Amino acid sequence: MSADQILDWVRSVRTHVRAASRCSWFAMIALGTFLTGASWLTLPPPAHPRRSGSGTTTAVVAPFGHFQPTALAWAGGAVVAYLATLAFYKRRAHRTGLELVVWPWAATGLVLLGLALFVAPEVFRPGDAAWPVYMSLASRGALPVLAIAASLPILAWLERSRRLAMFATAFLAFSLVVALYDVDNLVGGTGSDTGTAIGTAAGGMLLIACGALAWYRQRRHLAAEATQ
Amino acid sequence: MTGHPTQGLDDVVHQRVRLGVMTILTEVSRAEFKVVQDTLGVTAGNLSSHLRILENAGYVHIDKGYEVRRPRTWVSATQAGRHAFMREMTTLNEIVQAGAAQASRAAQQHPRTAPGTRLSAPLPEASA
Repeated sequence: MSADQILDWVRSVRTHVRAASRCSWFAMIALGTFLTGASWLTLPPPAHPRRSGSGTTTAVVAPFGHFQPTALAWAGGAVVAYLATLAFYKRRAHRTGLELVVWPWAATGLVLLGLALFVAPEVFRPGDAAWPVYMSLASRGALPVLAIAASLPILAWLERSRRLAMFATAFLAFSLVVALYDVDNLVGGTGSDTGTAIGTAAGGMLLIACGALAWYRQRRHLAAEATQ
Repeated sequence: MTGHPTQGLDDVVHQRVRLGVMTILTEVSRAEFKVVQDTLGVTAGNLSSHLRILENAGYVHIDKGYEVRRPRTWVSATQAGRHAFMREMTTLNEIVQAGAAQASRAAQQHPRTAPGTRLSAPLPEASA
């Protein structure tokens, strides 16, 4: 066997193993379902600066701190979606005999989400240098979507999937648009505060659609391999 | 340059079955013995002997256990094994590139040589 032939053979074994072990399609469908379901939960905007009588700027503090029901619902739903995906990977590893470790992706996603939901509102204050950036990203309530999108490249890296890496980059860009731009303007500008909900639901449905496509492609690839 | 790239080949990893084992194990965190066997199309005894060589070199870790009263053997690549496999892939790529460069040099030296013609064959001008 020449070096060329050996490398070709290694590539074919690698392709087979990757196709048999990947299940990022489930992660995409689980997170997509969660985002679509959670889209009606619009997060309250971060505390806006308010002029007090003495002319100084103070922050408005929410009645229950930042552990509000909507934030807790987001966190709870995300934990369920991530845990369901981890359980699915474990079950699939048991069935196929090829195990992929994906907990770093789930841990990163949950940590980023926790930071976005509970830590960031406590850390950033009006007047800080980072306040305008935080306000830009968080004022529409789409920071959790951004946190979930930011963890997807890690899954792409763990699965060694170039296609998922490209999708993760595109989804991250989409999440930034949802966070920075009022999507309501694109759908008629009704004046109601539904832009974030529309953007989040669209992101969720995009994840579901791409997850379903990935599942179909993988199934077709494995079926083609089986007939050879 | 210290020598021909073939000098960088690792005898432990270079053998076909062992290279296949390492290819599978570097793609996943661990793989079941039976899956490796089926993927590479080798007998259990053959695979066991190759795994023993890889284990003695410190390239794989073998974990024998039971799952739902069924014996299952899982194999995983160690950090040293992953590095050895990466080195092997780099060396193989260097060999391919060196071969391509050699062919290109030969083509420049004998520009009228048709593709597939033996380079040692006399050229028309030389024979005339």
